[in-house]
Amino acid sequence: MNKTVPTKLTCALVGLFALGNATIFLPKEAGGGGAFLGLALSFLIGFILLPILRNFNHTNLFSKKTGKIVAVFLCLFALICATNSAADFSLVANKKILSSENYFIFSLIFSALVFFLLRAKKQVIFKISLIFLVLIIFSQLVLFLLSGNQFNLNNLKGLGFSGTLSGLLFFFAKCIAPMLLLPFIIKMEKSTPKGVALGMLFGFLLILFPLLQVILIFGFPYSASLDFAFLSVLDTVSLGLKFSRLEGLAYIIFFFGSLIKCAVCLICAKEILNLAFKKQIKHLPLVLSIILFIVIIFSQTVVKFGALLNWVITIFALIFILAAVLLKSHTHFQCKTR
Amino acid sequence: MKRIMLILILLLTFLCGCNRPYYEPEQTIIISAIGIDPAESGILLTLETVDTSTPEGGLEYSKKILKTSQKDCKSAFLSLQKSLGNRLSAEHCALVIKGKGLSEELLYETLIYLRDEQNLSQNTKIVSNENGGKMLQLKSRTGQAVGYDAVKILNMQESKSDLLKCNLYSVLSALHGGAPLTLPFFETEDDNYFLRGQYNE
Repeated sequence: MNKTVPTKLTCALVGLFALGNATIFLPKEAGGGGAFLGLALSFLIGFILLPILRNFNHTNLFSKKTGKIVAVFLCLFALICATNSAADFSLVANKKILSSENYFIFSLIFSALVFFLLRAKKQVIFKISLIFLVLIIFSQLVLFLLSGNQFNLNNLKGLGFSGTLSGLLFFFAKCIAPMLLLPFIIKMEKSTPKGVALGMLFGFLLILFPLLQVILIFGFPYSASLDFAFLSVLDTVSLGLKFSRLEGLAYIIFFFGSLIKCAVCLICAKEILNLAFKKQIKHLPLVLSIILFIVIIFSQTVVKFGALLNWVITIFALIFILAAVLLKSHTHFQCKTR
Repeated sequence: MKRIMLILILLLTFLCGCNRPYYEPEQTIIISAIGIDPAESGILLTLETVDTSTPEGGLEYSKKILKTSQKDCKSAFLSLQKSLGNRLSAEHCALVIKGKGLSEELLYETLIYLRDEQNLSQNTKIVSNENGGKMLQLKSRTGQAVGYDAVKILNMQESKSDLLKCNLYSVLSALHGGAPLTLPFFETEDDNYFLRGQYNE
């Protein structure tokens, strides 16, 4: 995409990408009273990382001899982020929506959808993101307002610092670290920086509202004991006597966020390989979708990665940030000496 | 090609409905209320169930009481399901009655099991009575199951006092945090039951 992406489309994609699968397990894996602080700190780091993303030049990165190794490393990172998002949604879909242990059909549908998005033009992803974002904002507003009469402000007394680190790790791995892949789908120097910053702000708010809703109704210790606290909290929300099953609105948030994050990560993986090997690799979307399908089934039936994956994503991201900073200072130094 | 792909994906979504294990109504026993009392072996579980086989079709429906005494709630559910051969569904359960003398640890364990394994709603009301099982055997005044009738009484009074808010999540939250547990108390008198405020063992 060579022309500048409109601000609203950039904002929608970045916002939805930041939201991703973060709300599914809130706040169980996001620490206790420090979850809010963890969320704020991780997004603050995200805003600090923005200039690195904007100045990121991948033609430099892949032009060197080690370029292909870096490309494989980044591709692996994108695959981990994509499968993490898909596997998280797969878990909630099989436990709560389908109530069965048969992962095959769900994984097939999800992978087929991702394959469809991988083959689509980039503009399609941006436009779909905008539609999804509008639907998610509507769902969240409805759910938040309807649960207002259940809010107990005393539940905020548990706010504090305990668990801030695990909250920071959780939100960094789920929301901020995958953003390092964004330069491969958005030309950061061409897309309006306002769009990226606004998108991150949207992502922050889209996570903050469900977290606040869960804490205000359930309180810290109880919500941390639930696997899917945001879904459980909706058990208590109803619109009069007629509409009492509003969980469907939460599925919209989980599904659209996870699907877009997964698809964008795999699009980035595709772009990275095409850039590094300087040609369009045949049937790459199909291969990536099949890998995704296998990993979803594998992660649900053979190995349950859980919080370990957050560490893996964080370490991958830190290595990448360090490499980008070193590369930039090295290039800067070379320019100066010349 | 893209259109064919999209049609295929949409067709696949229809298969999702086939993925869910489904039960005929006569294979499911709907629980309207649960009574938990202490017993020598552990707990005495009393289930008030709505009989879906009533042929008359009137407003009143019959109910059945199921009882078992086991070491914990899980064993009680398994033993009842085994003896009846049908699935017990607690998704429509509106009320859990804690009998006198039941320890808070056992109540907590039981509620966690019912929530996680039997899909008990977060909105289920938890109340107390001298004998949870005995209250469920009474005939309700409205012709409904005792579970649904008692919840109506609670909902009418709830707006008058915050202390009557006794949803599953608030009770579990109090038990989790070690706060003193105060539950609305129903008193039984001459084959009838009345809400008598709060009760703290």
